[in-house]
Amino acid sequence: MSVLSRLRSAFFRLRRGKAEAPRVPDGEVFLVFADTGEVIRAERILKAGGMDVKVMAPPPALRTGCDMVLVISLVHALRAVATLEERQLAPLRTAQAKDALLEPVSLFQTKDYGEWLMVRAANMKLTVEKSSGRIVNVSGGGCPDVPYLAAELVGKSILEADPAREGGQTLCGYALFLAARELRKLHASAKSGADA
Amino acid sequence: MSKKIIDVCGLACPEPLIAFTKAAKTADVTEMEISFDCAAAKDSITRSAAPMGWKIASIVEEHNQTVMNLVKVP
Repeated sequence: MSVLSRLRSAFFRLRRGKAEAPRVPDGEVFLVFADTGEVIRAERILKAGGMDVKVMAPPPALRTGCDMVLVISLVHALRAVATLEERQLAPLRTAQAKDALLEPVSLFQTKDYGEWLMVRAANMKLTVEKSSGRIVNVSGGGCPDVPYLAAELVGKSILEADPAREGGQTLCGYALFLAARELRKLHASAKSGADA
Repeated sequence: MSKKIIDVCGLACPEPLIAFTKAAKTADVTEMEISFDCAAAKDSITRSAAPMGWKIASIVEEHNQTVMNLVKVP
């Protein structure tokens, strides 16, 4: 059974269930890909198509070697897979979070070091000084562009630095981009909390 | 004027850098010896030392452990 037909039957099962017992469908589907490059391309395509998609860490049962999966609501999954198939980017596998009793794992881990805040995204860690938002450390990875990215990013403000613009091309570069985005969110919410 | 000895072996990044930064900001510390076994810490401390007014006097690497001696630039 193809990915698309499995999703189609899951979707109609959910709709039948909805008719029998009125409940809000809140199922999510994991889209699993062969490598990080495919995850990045699929995320761009789906977001450009107006679909709300999250990048998350796969639960252990779904790990294929790639540290990331896409998570999308079940109601959008059918369109997402069809869109990706048109672009020759069909996921290796899909899994319903609910059916498989799988919980999505947050891609981010945050650690507060007092004056500093560290966000880990997949295999990369980005640390900023809380008071200034200045990046003080980039670590993790193992990709060849990490030393270059670290040299470019350390000392810059998290509000200005963008690992995607600095030329990150690998899983590490993409993980840093996600960590920076999360840190900017945390920095902005901490600042608005302090201003209130 | 005092020398601070820091052992952060077993701790992962960014903790060695944070330990260095805290000590480097302490007014009366002018020399520092920091030991660590996190591979990325050497680069991160090297990168941060000069902008914070510190100079690396020596680096000794032995059995996966690095000992860095630093002095405050007067």
